[in-house]
Amino acid sequence: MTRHLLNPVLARQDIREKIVGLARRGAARSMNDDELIHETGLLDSAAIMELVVWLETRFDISIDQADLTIENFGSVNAMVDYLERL
Amino acid sequence: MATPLYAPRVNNNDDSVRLVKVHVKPGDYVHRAQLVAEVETDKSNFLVESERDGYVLTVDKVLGETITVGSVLLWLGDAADETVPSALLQPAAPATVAAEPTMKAARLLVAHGLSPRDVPASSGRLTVADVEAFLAARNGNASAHGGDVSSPDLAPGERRALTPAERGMLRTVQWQRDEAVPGYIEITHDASRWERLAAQYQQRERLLMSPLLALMAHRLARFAAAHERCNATIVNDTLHMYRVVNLGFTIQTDTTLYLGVIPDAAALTCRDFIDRLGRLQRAAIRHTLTAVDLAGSTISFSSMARWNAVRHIPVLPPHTSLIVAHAGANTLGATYDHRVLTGFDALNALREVAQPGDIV
Repeated sequence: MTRHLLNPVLARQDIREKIVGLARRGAARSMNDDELIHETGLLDSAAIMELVVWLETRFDISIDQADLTIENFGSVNAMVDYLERL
Repeated sequence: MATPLYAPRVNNNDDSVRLVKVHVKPGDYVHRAQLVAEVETDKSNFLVESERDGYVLTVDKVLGETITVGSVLLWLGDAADETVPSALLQPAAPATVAAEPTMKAARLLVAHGLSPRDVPASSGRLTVADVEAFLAARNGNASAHGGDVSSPDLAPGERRALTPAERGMLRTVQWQRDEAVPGYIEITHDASRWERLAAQYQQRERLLMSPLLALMAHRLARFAAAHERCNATIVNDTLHMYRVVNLGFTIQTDTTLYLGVIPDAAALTCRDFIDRLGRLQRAAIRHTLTAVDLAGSTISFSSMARWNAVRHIPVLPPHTSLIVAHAGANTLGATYDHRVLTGFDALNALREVAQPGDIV
């Protein structure tokens, strides 16, 4: 499958919407893109795992277990940076 | 004294059965209710159990042979060298008399308006399997084991085959119902100690997700490695002690409850265990777990704290003796198989898991 060039703006938007959907709380909408998700309490570990699996499907990537760090996926911006580096 | 074990009547309409498995040989010592053979008809398979303790003297039938119901299948004696009566003196097959039903079989008889005399017993006691075989044959259905038993009390509806996950769940609960003797015990504990340790570990390792449950499960695995009866099960009246600890971890996805298995979990470092569990969890979310990922658990860990459950009493995975249940409200519980473990054994496991230990 051909992977399209990443559009960071759309990627951020999609990721935010997914987080809001997983959180099932309106408070997630006010989360800023630099906030560490695990510290907000909006998503528990299982929901973060679902987010990771969604990222793999949505952006057609395979994420190594060792890459699942706060630096790479801790915030919306971190995720987009990670995707751009691939 | 030498006594015969007769080929059982499985269905009222079948006067012969096919011998498909023999689990014993002359000289073997068997216990009452021990599985000795398996027979089949066109409609069902049936397990033949010994009616007494004793030595197998002879096995009179050949594997694969079609044998007459009521003919002698094998002889049992008090001593291994006891003489089997000659053919002229062999007693006739006993007339059909009502066998005493087990408690569960008695309830099933009442539920279907039957008496013990209506149902042939395959051994000295009338079992649930006997009643189910009779009902399946009467209703013209396929299998005596979990077969489709119609009930006039069911409201009209649609039927479909079970999915693999549903069949797995059915097999799991049936194993606990038919084999294990489950007990449950729980303790309260100070969860904050584990939470602090997990948070420190997460920060140190820069983990994206809290390792709390993984660390507790790893602790259980290491406890089981040091306490072999917690990592054991019963097979044919013997204690089977597993060589390694294969930790089963329940993973609830949107639609399915899986029991992912981490092989040789006690030999892993905490970090390796966390990574292995993470891979299993991702595969579960994608519904791409393989049969290997789901097989061979020897002890298990389950958590429903995510949904604020204050208590849950999990079903024992087949062929295991302990599953620890982590819930909210500082509760840790365990379902255990009382054939293997006492409540005190299970309590010790809980007390160990409740204590944050050294991170390996």
